[in-house]
Amino acid sequence: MHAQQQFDVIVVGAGPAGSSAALVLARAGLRVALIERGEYPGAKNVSGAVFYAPGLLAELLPTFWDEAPFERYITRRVLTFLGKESAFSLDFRTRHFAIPPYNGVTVLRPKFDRWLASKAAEAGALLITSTVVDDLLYEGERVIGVQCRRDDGALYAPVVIAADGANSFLAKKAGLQREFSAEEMSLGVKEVLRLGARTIEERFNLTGDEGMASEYVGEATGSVKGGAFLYTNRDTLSLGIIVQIASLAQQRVRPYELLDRFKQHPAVAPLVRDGVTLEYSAHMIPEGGWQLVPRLVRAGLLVAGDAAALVFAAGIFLEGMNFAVASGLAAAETVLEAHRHGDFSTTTLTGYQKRLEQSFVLQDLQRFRLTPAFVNNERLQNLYPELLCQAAEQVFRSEGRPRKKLGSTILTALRSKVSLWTLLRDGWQAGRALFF
Amino acid sequence: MQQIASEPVVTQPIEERLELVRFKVDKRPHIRVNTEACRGCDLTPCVYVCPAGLFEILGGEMHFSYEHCLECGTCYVACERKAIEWDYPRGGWGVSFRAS
Amino acid sequence: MRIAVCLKQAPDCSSVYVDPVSGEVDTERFVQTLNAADACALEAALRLKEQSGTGSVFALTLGPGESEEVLRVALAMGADTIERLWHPSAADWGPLTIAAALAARLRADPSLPDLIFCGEQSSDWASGTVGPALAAYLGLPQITGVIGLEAQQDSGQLLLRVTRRLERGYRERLLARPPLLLTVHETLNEPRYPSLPAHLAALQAMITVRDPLSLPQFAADFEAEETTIVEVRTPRPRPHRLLIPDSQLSPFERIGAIITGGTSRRQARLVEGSPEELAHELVRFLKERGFV
Repeated sequence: MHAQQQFDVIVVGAGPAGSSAALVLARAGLRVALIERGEYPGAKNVSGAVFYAPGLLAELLPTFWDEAPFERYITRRVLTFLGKESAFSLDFRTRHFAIPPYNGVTVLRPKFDRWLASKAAEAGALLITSTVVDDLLYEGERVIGVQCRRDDGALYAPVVIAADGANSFLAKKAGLQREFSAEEMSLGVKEVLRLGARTIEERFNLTGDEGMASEYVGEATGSVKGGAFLYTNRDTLSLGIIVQIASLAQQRVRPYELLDRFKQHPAVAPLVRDGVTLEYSAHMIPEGGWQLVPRLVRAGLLVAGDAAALVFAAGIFLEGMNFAVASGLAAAETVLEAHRHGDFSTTTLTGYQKRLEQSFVLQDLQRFRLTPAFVNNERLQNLYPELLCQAAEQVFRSEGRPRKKLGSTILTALRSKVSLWTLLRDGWQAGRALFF
Repeated sequence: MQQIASEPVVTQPIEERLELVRFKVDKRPHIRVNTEACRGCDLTPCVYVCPAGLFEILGGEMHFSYEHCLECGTCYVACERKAIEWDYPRGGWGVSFRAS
Repeated sequence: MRIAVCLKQAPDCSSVYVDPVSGEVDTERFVQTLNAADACALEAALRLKEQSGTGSVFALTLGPGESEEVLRVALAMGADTIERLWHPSAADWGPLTIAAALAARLRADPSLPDLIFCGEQSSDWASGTVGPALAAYLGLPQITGVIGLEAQQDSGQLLLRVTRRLERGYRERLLARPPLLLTVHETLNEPRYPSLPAHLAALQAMITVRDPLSLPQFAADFEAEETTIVEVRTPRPRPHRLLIPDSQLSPFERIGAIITGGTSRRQARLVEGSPEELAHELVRFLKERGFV
């Protein structure tokens, strides 16, 4: 074995989870290999992309706010229920999100991930690009390295962090993750449209570096289960749809046709008008939530980020990058502890699981574990947004006739399509999923 | 309630969108399909779910290409017959996103 | 045998996007890589070295810090030594000045390499000038557009059998002996995929940087305006013209005109005689066709 092929830790995947972990480990003086299959970090990565709680990284990188290539900080959050011809929005904005550490920032992943990986490399991690990891190497039950798809492709380390993304072949090969079902995985397809900074600021009522994160349910994805998003970057928009794979297959609709339908919805078309498409991209998202989170460790191996399905897709929340960063940091701390004791057994590495249980990562996923099923409820997806719009239309309609009181107007609209009993039951489930 | 007729949706051909994406195409395919298993598959989920429209049934036979694969993995998750063997392309090859 | 290869970092073709309306090139979306033809040039050099069993390959580039990537690729593929030339003012240099700088660097060694490989042209400006200009500055014979290369030993000396690409699908076969400069077309071979140890070593290698202005033999006319860009646009294929045959013709002749696209066979005439007669004949031909 070449000394050159021996490291203290191998991190597979230079996304937010992998690069954050590599940064911390390299700073602590470990010999870190950070392996990326793209020509550059971010080449294969797609998010919406809002990076919530960027303060997580700012604590590590004091120059974060000056240097990190983020697009806009989010001061405006919008949730829209789309009917066929109408839209009902909840629109929230606050200046409290406009002060560092910002609540959320939009990023373009090829730029952001590249920057973050360069920080890990500056700290001393060896960034190995253009190299795909095919498998793990074992000694008995213990993981002792990785096999890369190159001649003489073995690399050795007493511990490996698999941050290899949503498909997570390594977690599956290690027997930690099972095969995915089409019900628990979603597909996101996205376009980036150039509009110009000025147009974006005027069109979305933003000032300076302020940005908007807007999400849509209902008619956004037709009868397919899912939702849509529209985020503002510096001079482009990121917009896309996220749909459950099983539902897409069942309804026999192509994702890019859904995207076009969304762009042409009367409530969306004026927002994207004259936008020039710069890129089209797609990615799979492990949206299954708590049910999908695999076993996180075995001897010599930890799984982080999307690879561990640490994605928080719970209705009004759509977060992944912060979960990736937090899990990467927790994995790094655990690896440091393991190195201090020279012990890479499952018992020691379980400290990673404990760290995540104490942080928002597993607490949020567990607390909102009912939400994915609730969000995919047929009525919530396809009926209620339309009914809500109809109710609003009845309330606002002026026809020169005597009005009823609002309660009765709304109830009439709602009960035209759904029984009071079902309505109460769904209300109760919404409460359990999101509120109590 | 009366429905107002929607404007028909104009869809942009997928090929035009893929022109905006950068691919470095490896000679070795990273997708393999056991087309025998596709015979008699009525649902053909791969045809609908693939965001690059790489799968197609022509004359009752499954045809696919891997060159413009966006590497999401949706096809093998959706395939109920497990006919799709899907791996990442060689390191440094395949799709590279730049503006997403 | 000593071989030098000149490399350039250039945007990968598939990453170049020209706005169809404004004609502007979106440089933000570039993915910079080792120019495809240069990678083939390097591969050809490495194969020659491996075949002969001895020798060395020296990879040279002129470019800013980012372009060290291409030298790391070269090192991983098997180059023995690498070097980067750079001076901030070089960002504005045209192909002739760049060739002069490369020539000055190669002359700085005690002797010139036996073989010099260049890519035929780069994927960005594709002027195809640096290779031929470098040969001219070094006073070396050159073969451009190489699409086939075989080496053999001929009474103890290296003999190269070279296939050159000409216009309109023509090929030219040549025999050549070093010293020589070859510019290589990107279809010559398939560059190798480096092993992991080589890749790792290359990623960690220190790279020598030299200032071309400090090279004693560097002589260039910095005031000369080498290239003027008139317009940049996406190439549009020429409209396909359909021949409508003369309706006076018989159906047989009309079908003939359609299936041949209305072209008659290219006519060639071989003229023999003394140089004077041939020159006269040539001038007569050019006048007749209205060229002079």
